[in-house]
Amino acid sequence: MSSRHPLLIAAAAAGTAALLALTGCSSADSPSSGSSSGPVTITFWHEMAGPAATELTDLVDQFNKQEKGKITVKASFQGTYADVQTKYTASVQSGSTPDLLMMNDVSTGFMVDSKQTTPLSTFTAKDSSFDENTFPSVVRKYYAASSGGLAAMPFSVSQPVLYLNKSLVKKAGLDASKPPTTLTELATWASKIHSSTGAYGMTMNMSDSWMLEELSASGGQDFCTPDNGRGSDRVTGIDMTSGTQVAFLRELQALFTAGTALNPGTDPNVMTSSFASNKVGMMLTSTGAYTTADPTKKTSVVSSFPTTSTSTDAGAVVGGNALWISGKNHSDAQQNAAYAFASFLHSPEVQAEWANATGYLASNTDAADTTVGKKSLADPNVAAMYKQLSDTPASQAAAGCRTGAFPTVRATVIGAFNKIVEGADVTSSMKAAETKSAEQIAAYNTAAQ
Amino acid sequence: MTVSIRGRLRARPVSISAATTRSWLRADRRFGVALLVPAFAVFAVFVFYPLVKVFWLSMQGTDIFGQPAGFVGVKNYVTTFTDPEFGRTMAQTAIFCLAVVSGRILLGLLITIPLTVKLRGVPVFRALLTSPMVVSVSAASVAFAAMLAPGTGLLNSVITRFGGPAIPWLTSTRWALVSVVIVTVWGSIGFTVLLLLGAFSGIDADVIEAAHLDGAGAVRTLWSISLPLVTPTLFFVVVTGTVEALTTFGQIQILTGGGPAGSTTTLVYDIYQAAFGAASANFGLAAALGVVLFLLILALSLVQFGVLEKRVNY
Amino acid sequence: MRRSARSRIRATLLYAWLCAAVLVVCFPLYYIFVGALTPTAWLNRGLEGLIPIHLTLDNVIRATEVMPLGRQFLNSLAVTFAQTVLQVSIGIAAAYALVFCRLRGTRALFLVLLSSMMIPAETTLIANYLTVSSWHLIDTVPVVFLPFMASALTIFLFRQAFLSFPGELREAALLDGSGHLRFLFAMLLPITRPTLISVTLVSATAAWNGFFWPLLVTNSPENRTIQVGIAQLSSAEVNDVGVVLAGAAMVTLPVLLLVLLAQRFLAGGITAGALK
Repeated sequence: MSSRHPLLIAAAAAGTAALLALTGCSSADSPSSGSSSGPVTITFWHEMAGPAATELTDLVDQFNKQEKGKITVKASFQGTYADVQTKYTASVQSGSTPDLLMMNDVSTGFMVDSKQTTPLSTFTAKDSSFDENTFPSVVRKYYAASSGGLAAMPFSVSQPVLYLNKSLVKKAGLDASKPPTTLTELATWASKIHSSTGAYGMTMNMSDSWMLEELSASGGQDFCTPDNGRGSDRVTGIDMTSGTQVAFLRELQALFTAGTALNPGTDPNVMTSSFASNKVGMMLTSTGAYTTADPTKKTSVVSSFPTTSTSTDAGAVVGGNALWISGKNHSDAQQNAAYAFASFLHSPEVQAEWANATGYLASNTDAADTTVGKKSLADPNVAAMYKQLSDTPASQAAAGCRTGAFPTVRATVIGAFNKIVEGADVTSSMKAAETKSAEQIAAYNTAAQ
Repeated sequence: MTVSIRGRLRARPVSISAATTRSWLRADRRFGVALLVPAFAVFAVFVFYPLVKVFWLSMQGTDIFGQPAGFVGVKNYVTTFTDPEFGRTMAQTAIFCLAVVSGRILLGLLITIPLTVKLRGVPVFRALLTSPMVVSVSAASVAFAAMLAPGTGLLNSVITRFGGPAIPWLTSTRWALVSVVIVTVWGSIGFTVLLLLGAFSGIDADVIEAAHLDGAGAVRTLWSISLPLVTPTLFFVVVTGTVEALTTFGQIQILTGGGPAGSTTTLVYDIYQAAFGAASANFGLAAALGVVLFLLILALSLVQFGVLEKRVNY
Repeated sequence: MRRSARSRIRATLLYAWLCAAVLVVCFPLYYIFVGALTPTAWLNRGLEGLIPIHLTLDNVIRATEVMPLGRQFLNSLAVTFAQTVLQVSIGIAAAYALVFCRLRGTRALFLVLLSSMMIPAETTLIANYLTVSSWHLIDTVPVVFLPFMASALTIFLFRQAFLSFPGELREAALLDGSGHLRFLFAMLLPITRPTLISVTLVSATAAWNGFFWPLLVTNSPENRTIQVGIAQLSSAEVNDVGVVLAGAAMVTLPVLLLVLLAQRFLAGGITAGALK
């Protein structure tokens, strides 16, 4: 796909206001200026910090230069995903939503329920250059719209992985080329690293319950009931007390109470910097942390996420974020400009760049054939990440949960986990979290009606 | 005749007669009302109306964007008072207020009393010891967040160097509230010392002198003369300090975000989370919590005005 | 002789105690300012990194690159200026009316004022948020000071000062035929100047330090105040301690200078206002 495509799309789509109105999407009630040919400025909210923010700024500049006189993208960092969802809610109230919004995986349910955005499929249906098969199938499944096609443009794709600090692993007399594959092995390794080097054996992302959801999925367990919200019914509760889940929670609890594992608190940046500065031997977190965890790409080994059971449904849920195009109160020109920018970000070259700079995985499979993509894949760590992505089965457990109450539920579950790592009883803590989550989900479902 | 609004409104020679006094009074009143309008307009729009609206909101349901979605009666209050975590939040709020206020009083006195002794260099110490006053809550919090960071923080690197165990300042449910208390006390110590210095300097030197002549030692003079004389200020610090602690937000938001496991969530932070927290937007619930806060502060203020009434001239 | 030896020991102990107190109390300030000027690589070494021998402005430059701190600084200045001027002038006007205009029901009005001091901003905030959001003012700079244009505390403090103004002077002014404005500007304000200055300082500091409301009502980095800006800087650049401290230093410096210049008034005014 040439990088000139978005231009063509923008031009072609500019005159399709009538069509948009026919499809019944919310842009129908926007104060649309129809075929305004003047330059369009669109606002774009994102949550990227550190090297990812630098790269994103570069990409925005590149696009603005390419579309000079036609489209200007004004990108702004808005804080963490949780902050942004709050602000987005506020902007819906005041009618000042951004034209394009980057939102993370778990807010997908909320974004769909909010009915503020125009489904991506509305634009792609008219864009002959668009090929849905350029997305990895798990990604397509994750962001599927109920009406068919995609609800949003998947941008960053991540996988949970295991990072090993080469030097600490070696000091502990372990072989980083044969990394642990199950959580039990990982626990043994962590203790060895801790006892022989004095450094922490492991740490994990504890900003929310994401790692616990992944450990559930890697044991073939659904996190939400019924059916992870992938069936016809809305999610009504969560499950965190199955045999597999209690077992892995106990294993983690032992590591934390023994002082083998580092509790990094709510800020994942603290965790990556501890890992990067040789204070922790192993780390469970997103592929997206690669560039900050190992800036030289030489000091760590990335290996597949540990499994918690031998179930054939076991797999990792994709994480990352997607781009949502605002419909309500946004003119067609703005919406089309937003789509043009989103398509630009999906192009293989940009995806290869983005993946290379951030450690996210390319959401466009063609990225592998680009020069940058080929170079990235030469790094065995990156190759390991892609292998995990392609090995993931299309099971319900690995598809992940979808509920608009997800962010709230995450806060509840990680709260319970915080008590568990300090020694609280696993089953009763998680039972309490299940009850509380069910209430939160019920409240959300009422509010969303 | 001078240039004045009254003069401009009605130029009139000054002579003291009953009629002029009456018309003066009228002009005065009109002028006075005009002067009061801006203040009371602001209070009407941004204090009294929202108070009424919060009571109304607390009986409303909420949609996913936080917009009122119909009358629900006392449902939000029932949700609040039947939630076991609300009890915990209130207990944490009480502990937090108690710890912050007693910390301020205790440290404030321990710092201020030596500063009242006539020694060389005391003015320098005064300036230095009141200096935290210049640091805003958010600056103090980001600095302490860096100092207390798990894994990489300065404080733990010092402790571990001297062989101590790294303390999970912000990540453990046992320590997080302690850390927020430390930061809050630090942030308010400068102002506390300033207030106490004012109170101690207001003590009549003759009284102290007389006590010394009576053979009272320094400690005794302090205990039975100076401290009782500064109790009004101490009381003022207790009441305003409690209200301040009760409404603490920035430190919690920046240092812990109410966590881990809700262990630093106070009533005000709970309001924030209900209304603006991750995917919550439950303004009805937040309003119910706001009403609880209002009643608490009202009670405290009544105590304050009751006790201070004699000193406040109105 | 023994007496002087004892008092010397006592003085030494007091000095030791005061020095210890200064060390603890002032360390965070030292950390902010020296840390702001020290590369993070040194800061990560622990205490010895805080010896001020590697000073550089790099952190400050980088901080302003990550966040538009310059712009946010100006926003904060604008908000502080507007809020302070409005609070003080509306406060003087209201207090003047309450004290000198012989209004009927002054006491009732004053009680209304006092009662508004008992309504916490954290309670009304939710409703105020909905109000300004319905006015489409979210994410603008003026909305940051809008609800705080008048302050009951300011009116209260001015009223206290005006009440203690000598009645004879007021009579004399009236007999002289001076009108309200002349009396206000030529006599009342000059005489109550300490209160005026301290109330202005208190208002300005409060406006500068605002955090909760500005956090809620602004979104774009260029509309944020600097207090919110540094909090965001801290979460975006948590790995780069020096940059975070540079932000904290930028926020603190103006207040530090102001207080150094006006400490006399601040101390006198606050205690007088609080407890007269």
